[in-house]
Amino acid sequence: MKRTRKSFRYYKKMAIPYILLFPVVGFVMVFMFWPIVNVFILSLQNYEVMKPAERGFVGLQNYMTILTQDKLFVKSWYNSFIWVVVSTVIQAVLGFWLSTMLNKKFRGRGFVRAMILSPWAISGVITAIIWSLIFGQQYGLLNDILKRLGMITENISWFSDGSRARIALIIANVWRGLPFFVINYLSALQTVPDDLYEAADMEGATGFQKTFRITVPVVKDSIIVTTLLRAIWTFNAVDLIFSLTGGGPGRETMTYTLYIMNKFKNELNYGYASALAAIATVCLCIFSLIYIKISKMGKEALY
Amino acid sequence: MKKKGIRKALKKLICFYLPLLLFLGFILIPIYWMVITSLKEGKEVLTIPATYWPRKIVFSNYLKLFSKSGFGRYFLNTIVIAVSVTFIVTFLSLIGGFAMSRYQFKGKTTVYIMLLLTQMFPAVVLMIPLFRMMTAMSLINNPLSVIIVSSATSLPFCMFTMMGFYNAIPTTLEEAAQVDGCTVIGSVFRVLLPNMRSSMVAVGAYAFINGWNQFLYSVAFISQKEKYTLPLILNSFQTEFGIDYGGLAAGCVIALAPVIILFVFIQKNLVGDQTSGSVKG
Repeated sequence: MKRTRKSFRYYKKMAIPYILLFPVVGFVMVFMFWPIVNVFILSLQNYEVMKPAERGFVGLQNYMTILTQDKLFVKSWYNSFIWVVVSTVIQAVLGFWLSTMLNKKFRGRGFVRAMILSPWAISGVITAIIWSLIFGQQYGLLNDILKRLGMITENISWFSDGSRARIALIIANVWRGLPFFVINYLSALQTVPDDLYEAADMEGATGFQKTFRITVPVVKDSIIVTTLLRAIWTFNAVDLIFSLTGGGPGRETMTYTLYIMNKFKNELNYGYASALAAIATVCLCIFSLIYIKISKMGKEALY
Repeated sequence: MKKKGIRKALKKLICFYLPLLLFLGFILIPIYWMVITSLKEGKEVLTIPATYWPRKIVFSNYLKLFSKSGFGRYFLNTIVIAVSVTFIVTFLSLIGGFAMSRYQFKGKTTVYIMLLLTQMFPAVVLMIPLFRMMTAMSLINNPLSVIIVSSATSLPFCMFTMMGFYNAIPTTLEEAAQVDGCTVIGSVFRVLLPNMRSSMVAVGAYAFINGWNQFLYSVAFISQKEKYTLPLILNSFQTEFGIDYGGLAAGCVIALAPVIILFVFIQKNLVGDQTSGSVKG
């Protein structure tokens, strides 16, 4: 008798963490994992909102069309690749430099930190508007400054040329993403023991040596994890491009995720958009597994 | 000796203060430009060469937004969403994070990896099935749809953050209370939660910012203009307003103000403090 009561209490205690976690896991299952499963189901169907008569299961047809006939498929992946690699690398390098500076003690550091980190909280749409005020052809700040400096005589039209539009987008993205890197690097820099620097000072090491022989090796894991995570988020982000260039001029800045959104939102071709989305999911999963492997390597960062 | 001091100061100026100043300029000039554009008169915004300080500071752009464009409504819509997301996410990550931090149980690693995986999901991918789901639940054009999905997507990160905050508080605190005759639940409410106050603020602020800035799902779920949130209306202003940059900038400033104020509160939490706390513990 006594034993069963004890075991009941035992099970009750065992159940506590599951009960506490249930809402979080439930939310995530229903609104994040189930939709992903759905995308794969939908990707096997011909599902265009405007053509209800043709709806139905078509097997891998969407995928075949994508892989054999869709020129924009390759182009948008290429655009995404440039967009992710260039903006992430710039952010990682500048972010590291900036965070080592912000880690030093100087007067007004708290204030400077807060200022520099502020774009972190700014949404993609507002970032787009802020930078459209800068890059505007006629009334933009940048053209005005360049003119005053005598570097140009005619106003540059930043968004009518593919590579210039890309540069503008990447600058805006670096502006917005830099704080994320600085936040993560700064936290990592707190873990570098001061006595290492003191010892290096005793040996007469230069600042450059100290950075690359002490700081970088210690925060290496954090650098890798932060960069990979940001690369994924940059790939996923559409809001900034959507409002700043809309993928234009032509389709020069149309990234893969923006392409999916167009197929879904403008062409209302749910089946095809789902197939595109399914391909993105698989690619990201592979990338994520690598990420998780590496982040486990730097366990203290998250676990 | 003195020469060396000057050289050192010069070196510090070039290698440290100058780059820092450049970074600061890069970050702040766009924000500055937005703010002063919003304070300029309509004509002045369109003068060439541009003025770097308004000739006359006016608030007509702001007044116009509220009187003509019904900005108050969009502001309210956004607040409803952001506040709901804040409460849902803070509460759920408070209890979920507690379980992840204080208990060892079967499947913990699975939950951990599962939640980590969600961080990689592109919103665009989820958007398609979620749109159909919301249509089936007839939640389209209902802020509830945005609230639910925003909460779900910010939950994993917020719970991880909360877990870190719990980990930074030594269990000895609760154990001591329990030895003194406190129940488990009592020790949580009397000892643990008071220590978590600033953590709840940090997580709540993060959730608020996420809800406030939510764009993609709002685009997908909300098409009626009177249900629009600030990001949506600002996005449509971009085409509607044409060259009324003053009005556009003023809209941005209004949409940014609450977020920036919150950010000032939490930015200390984001960097350092939390790790140094755990090191000490």
